Amino acid sequence: MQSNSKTLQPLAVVVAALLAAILISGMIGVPYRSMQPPTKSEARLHLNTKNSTRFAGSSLEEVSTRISTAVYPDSQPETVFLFDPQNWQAGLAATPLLRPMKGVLLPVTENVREEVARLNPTRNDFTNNGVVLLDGVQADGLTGENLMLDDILGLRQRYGLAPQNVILVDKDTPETALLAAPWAAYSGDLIIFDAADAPAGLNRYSLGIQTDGFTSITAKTPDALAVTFAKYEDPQNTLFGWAFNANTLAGYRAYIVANPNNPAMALTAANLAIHGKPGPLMWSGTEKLPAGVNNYFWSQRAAFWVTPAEGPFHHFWIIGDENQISFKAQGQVDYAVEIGPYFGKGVGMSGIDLIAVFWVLMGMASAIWILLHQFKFLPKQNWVMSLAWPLLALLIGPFGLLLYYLAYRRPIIRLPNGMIVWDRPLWLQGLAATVSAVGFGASIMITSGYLTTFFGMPLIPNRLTGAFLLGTPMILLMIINFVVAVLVSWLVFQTPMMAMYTNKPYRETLGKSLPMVLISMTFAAIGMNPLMWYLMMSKIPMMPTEESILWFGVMFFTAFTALLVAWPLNYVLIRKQNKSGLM
Amino acid sequence: MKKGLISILIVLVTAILIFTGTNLIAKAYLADQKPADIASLPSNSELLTVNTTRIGSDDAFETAVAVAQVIYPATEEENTPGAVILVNINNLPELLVAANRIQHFPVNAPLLYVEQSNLPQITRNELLRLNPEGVPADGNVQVYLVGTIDASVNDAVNQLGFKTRVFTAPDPIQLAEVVDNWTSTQHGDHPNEVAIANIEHPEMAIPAAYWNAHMGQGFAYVTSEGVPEATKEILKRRANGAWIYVFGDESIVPEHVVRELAQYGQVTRMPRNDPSAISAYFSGFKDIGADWGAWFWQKARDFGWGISEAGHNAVFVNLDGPTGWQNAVTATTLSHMGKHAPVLILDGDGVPDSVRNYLMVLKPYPTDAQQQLLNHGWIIGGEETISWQTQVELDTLLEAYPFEE
Repeated sequence: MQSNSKTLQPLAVVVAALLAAILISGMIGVPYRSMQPPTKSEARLHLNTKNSTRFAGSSLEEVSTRISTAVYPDSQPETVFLFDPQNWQAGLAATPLLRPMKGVLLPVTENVREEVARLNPTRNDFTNNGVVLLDGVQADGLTGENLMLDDILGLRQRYGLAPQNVILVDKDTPETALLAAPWAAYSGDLIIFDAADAPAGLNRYSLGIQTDGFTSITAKTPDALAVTFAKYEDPQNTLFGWAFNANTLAGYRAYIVANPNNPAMALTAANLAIHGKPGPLMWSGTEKLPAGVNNYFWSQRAAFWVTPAEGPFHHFWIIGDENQISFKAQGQVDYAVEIGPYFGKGVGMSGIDLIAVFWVLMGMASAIWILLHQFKFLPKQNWVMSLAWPLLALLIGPFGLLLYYLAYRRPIIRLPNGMIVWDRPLWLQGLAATVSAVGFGASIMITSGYLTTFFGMPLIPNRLTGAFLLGTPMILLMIINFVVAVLVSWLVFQTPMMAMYTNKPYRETLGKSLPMVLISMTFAAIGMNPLMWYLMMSKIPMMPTEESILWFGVMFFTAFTALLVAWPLNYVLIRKQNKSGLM
Repeated sequence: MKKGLISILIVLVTAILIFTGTNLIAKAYLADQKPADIASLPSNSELLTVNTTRIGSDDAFETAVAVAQVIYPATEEENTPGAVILVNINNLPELLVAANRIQHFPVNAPLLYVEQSNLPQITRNELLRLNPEGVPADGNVQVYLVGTIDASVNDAVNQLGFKTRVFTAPDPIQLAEVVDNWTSTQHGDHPNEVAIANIEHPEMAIPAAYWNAHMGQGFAYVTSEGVPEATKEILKRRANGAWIYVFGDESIVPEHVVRELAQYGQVTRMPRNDPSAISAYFSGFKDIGADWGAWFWQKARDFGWGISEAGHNAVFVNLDGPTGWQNAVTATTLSHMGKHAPVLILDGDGVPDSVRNYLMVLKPYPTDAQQQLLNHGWIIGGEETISWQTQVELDTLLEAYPFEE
């Protein structure tokens, strides 16, 4: 009799180990896949994406021409400011003039006069042909008014509203100094390289350098400084700073992403801040974004509350060809700000993802602890229960240990047949019976669900009025899971357990245990499936697949609700002595 | 204790073995061929403005590919589509069915063109580049073939290693019924909102395709004579009665047809008679209200973009370019993801008044940077389809920070 059931023990152990192994293999895949590097771009007609525009071009001239075309596609600027690409300081100092003088900033390159001719600047005050040559730069075939750095302040005061703020930058560090360029182009605030040049009466800021008498905005690295400045807002002076930070959910963001090893190219991109989509300059490496910048972009991810058509919509300007910034890095930024549901918002991982990870890790830790504890301290425990507990603990996150403690801190009883059981009140007997039902039932259902989803859920289109749902993948999945769970649980786990308890042969017990398995599995399915449908089909907008941790989180959480639903049922069954909960 | 540790080890090693196995199986789903290098489109890098991006060329096959590349960089799993939908470049009614009823989640697929008996090189190449993962909620199907496409094309796609599903029917009206049946089974729900097009004027319903790429609601055809049987089937399936949205005024969909439709639910018209005016009207249109409710649950109907303020985007297409409608329909993917934009249809060369007036409503205005509202436009096609001059005009209409003139 017992030997009859005992023969099934190795099979049951193997099945339980396989269930655990399959689920764990799926969860290993989640971090593994997220660590895979993105692949290279290939076979593309262009390098623009849904959230980014690339100013591709192999040379500084090509890139700067495309930027000036984008900013002034047709309407003529009044002024063209020319700077020597080696003398980025001169160009940077002139950025406050761009908006007040309706200008564009261009580096002097071989054929720059062709672009100047296309732009055909109209200004005839200060300069008689619209061309301004910065800091004595020479350009073939072009004449214009010379503008020395010392004269910029005076000129700025002649055009537009008077500047309110002045920014001190380091003239030897382009990767910090140039961060001021788009802001100056957007706001008209002055840029100086020497603290002594700060005009009286203006709010003083310094970017990347700690300076007495200035509000200093600093960070450890240029990448970090870019992030700090993009987020910066001054409560005393709300007109200063982009204030692109997470406190605002509704504002639209634009970012210029450039490579710091090409200062003239990054500076030319400041033209993009004078109209269209103004925004700060951020640095990228050639191959990928610095981690701090990527995290910052994630923190600004657009979130919708009602519909994804509501906005906000963020946009990136990618400066240069793939030698400056790879398409991989562009793919990274594009994905980082893609508009998604508010619940999915987070840095790299959303709140519900975090809960799922916590749940899954707690489950694994509990399962391991329980397994070891059983081997060491409960050698006489029934083997079916010793499989059920770790399996259930794996699923129910933080609750496994607590329930295990409740079930086994009880005094033991030796039955006449030599079995050891635990003296439990009825409600705890109900728990123990539920643990064996749900521990096997839910883990089989979830494993079956995992494999079915992995190989693709079936879909059977049909025209049955009302019953068309029978062909729906999620419903078919539930049916498959239920049938597999009933069969495996009945044949491998529950019948041997009942046979042992009632001291009857396995074969004779089959008939008696089937209704019990059907009833408890039905309750487990009632506990799991409606919640699973609700969470997967309507609560989480992009239905998670078996490749996401959210899939495991949702499934495991529904196993816990199954436990809660099946517990009262088992309590009743035990009261009626249909079931045992002492093992 | 030792036994315990050994059993944990065994489970972990088995897990790693299974993981390696599933990875190999997952790889086998993907095509092993690499796409060939292709020449890039200069206009897509050169004709850019701060408020617009030009996508595609005057070749409709190419434009479809260029649009797919905007939405799906396919550099990592998150930006790879679930599947690809292949449609016949010469059949607008079939294409509208595909965009309306298949593109949306959980399928998540771009539209690419084929000819009835030919898988063009550029489309084949893009299939290989996208290397779709397969739709878990439909047996991991990777490519859908919709409408009159010969079996030889299906064979060619299968040979690349992709799993396909084919939708066919004797005509587009019945195709809509076949696909509706499939989609509704997949979702376990028949969306009660149904867009209606007259199959004799399919171009009037192009805006519906953009909406449904975004929203995944119903779509069916009528004729000028009446409501065909297949469409009646679709409407009858709506459990609680349909909410019916007719694209076009009486000159497009005759009054007697609307009366017939009204037997199946409440009918609302988009009362305009040219595609541009319908696109502008529908971009601002929104119908919300009762659909289905009981004491424990309620679901509202929700049809139309209802966009009437700054901070939105638009897909600009032209039906009068060298390829006609062919260059104006595959950009529905841009409504499905990214900037989630409605379509605005241009005609001839320039911006029609209906579209211009609508854009004036959307016009952003200067604000503090933190609170700025920005608009963006997708310009679909080459310069023969939408000229640079028109693009520049649209750029100005979308601008948030104009210079004071």
